[in-house]
Amino acid sequence: MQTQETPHKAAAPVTQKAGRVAALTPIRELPHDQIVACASFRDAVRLGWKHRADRSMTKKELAAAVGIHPPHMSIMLHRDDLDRHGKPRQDLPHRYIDDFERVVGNHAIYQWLEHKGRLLIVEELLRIQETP
Amino acid sequence: MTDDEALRIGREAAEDAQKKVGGKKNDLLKELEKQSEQHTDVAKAFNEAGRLWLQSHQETKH
Repeated sequence: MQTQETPHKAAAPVTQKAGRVAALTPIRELPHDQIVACASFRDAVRLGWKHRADRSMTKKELAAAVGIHPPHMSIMLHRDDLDRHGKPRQDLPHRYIDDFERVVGNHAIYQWLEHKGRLLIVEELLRIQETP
Repeated sequence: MTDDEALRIGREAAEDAQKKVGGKKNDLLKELEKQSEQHTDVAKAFNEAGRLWLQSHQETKH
């Protein structure tokens, strides 16, 4: 059964819990093969969530700890980029990355961005050289 | 590290890698992964390049 709570009332206790978990858990790196298997930023965010340090943490608790409206967090963690109308789903805004990683306890997003940066620079180099 | 510095470090690392292993994309990526493991500033530069891409991508999208 679902209970109706205001976001403000619901946020305080779960934020404290997630904050304790984050404070006690060192942020770890994930295996390289899992990072390069992510085809998109969304995949990297989902990988980070999948490997969260506190397996009992809910999306609602994550949302409260990071400071994102819970329904938006669910959208950001959805598997598909597009909704049923073909409209792009919102991704985790870049300004929340550090908080997200601190709460889930891993660097999946950081590692994927490093991989993406390498890929972009290599592709740029090869493209420039192919141009007559 | 500024955005410009990050891009400069990343591009220089890619050019150095190309001199070492040639111009095949996968060989270049593997060499740059090694460089990133050995040199924190190179790893940070690539991360910054990725962040810049994401920022630009999200600003265009929304």
